[in-house]
Amino acid sequence: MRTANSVLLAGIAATTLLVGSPAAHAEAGEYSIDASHSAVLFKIRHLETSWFYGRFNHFSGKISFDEQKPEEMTIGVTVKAASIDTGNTKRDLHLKSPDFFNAKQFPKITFKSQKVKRASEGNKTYEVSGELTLHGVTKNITVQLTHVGSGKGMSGGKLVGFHTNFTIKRSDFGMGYMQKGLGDDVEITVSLEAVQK
Amino acid sequence: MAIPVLLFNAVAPFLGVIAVLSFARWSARGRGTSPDLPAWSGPVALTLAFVATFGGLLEWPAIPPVESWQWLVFLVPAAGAWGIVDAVLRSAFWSRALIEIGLLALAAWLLVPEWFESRFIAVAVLASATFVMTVAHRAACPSSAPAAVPLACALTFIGTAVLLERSANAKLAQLAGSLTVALLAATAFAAWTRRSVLTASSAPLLAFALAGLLFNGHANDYANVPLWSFVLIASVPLVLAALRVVLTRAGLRPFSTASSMLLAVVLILSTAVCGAVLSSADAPLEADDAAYTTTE
Repeated sequence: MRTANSVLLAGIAATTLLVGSPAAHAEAGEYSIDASHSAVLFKIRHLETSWFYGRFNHFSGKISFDEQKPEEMTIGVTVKAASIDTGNTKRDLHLKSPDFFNAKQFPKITFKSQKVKRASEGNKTYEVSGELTLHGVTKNITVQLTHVGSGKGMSGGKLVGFHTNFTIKRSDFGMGYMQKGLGDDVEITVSLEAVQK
Repeated sequence: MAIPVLLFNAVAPFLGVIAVLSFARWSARGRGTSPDLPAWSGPVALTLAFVATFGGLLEWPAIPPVESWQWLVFLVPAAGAWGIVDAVLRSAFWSRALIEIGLLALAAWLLVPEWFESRFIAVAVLASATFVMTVAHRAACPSSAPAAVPLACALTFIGTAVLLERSANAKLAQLAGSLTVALLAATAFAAWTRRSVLTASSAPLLAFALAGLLFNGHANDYANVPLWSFVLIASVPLVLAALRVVLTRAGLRPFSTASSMLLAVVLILSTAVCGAVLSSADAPLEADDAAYTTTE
């Protein structure tokens, strides 16, 4: 009886591993960021009083990901600086100008990963180190990237989702104007859904 | 208004200019009855005001600057220095013109950003226009009505600041504002002492600062401020010089000449600013936006 139960449990476990786990969906592969189901958001302190939110509407990128070998993951994201959107056209124009992003001279904000390691055994959060280029200044940053999930899209393509939240100092990137009105720390949230090519 | 803005955009430029001009007047005592202050005083006073605002409110640039507009903090003082050297050399018109065109071509090359369309043409136009504005400033400076020229220049930089603010360039507007305050201080000093504070030595700095700010405002305009508004303000030195020459030859009294010059400046600036306010609108989305969006 004990032997029969053991065989049954082993069978269930094997079936679960092959069919039910996310790993079964997320095979190694190249993914393109689906900007219509992704977001690049930021928040910043206004007059040391409240949090003010904005977003970038246009970005693209590629992800190479194998859940079995997450250390080999690569991520490259390009954000169009001029697509900044704070819900106020006049403010957006000001943010695009040389007072802040200087979007004509520095049209792209880019992140390119260089090193990935598991934040801790057994979870799906990774420490991703890479180069962030903003306003013509390139700095190394490390972010905690969470693998939110994997699945299939409406048209059958394989999907993978990631999420990260990190803070930069805008003055580190030569964007320190109006420090009294706007905080130096900018909290950035990136939520990515990518579809396998 | 925040205290640093008040300090570096208004108080420091105003008091700095008054201090420099007072020292210049004191240093020139007993040297005849010239109605003009020493040639170095105007460029030094205006340079101090400009640099004080840049250093106090904006981020000091790397050397060489990463952003082309940041060259202004080096080139405006350089134009002031050239004005003093030129006053000492007293070169003939053509030799001075050759040197100035060479220097302005170099300055324009640094100031016109690499991404600017038709960069070579822009450099040639900016250098030529600045040269003409410099010559015009020199012609407008003589001292029949000492306070009129600095006041006309102050008004010009007020108009420039408004235009730059409309084009979403607050940093450049603050620099124009700094020169406005400095020129208002010079106006007050000239009215009080009845001496010309802006001699021909100030012409290169005034012309280059005006041309440089206007060009960068246009190049980095995100609000569709019309080009003709920028050009109209750049034409102020020419109008001042033409009016001064014509009205003086016509035998008008200094007060009438000065009033006519100021009225013309106000009319030009009003037209330019009205054009900017009425024409500037939301910037359209660029055609290549789609390239950044990937959808399944």
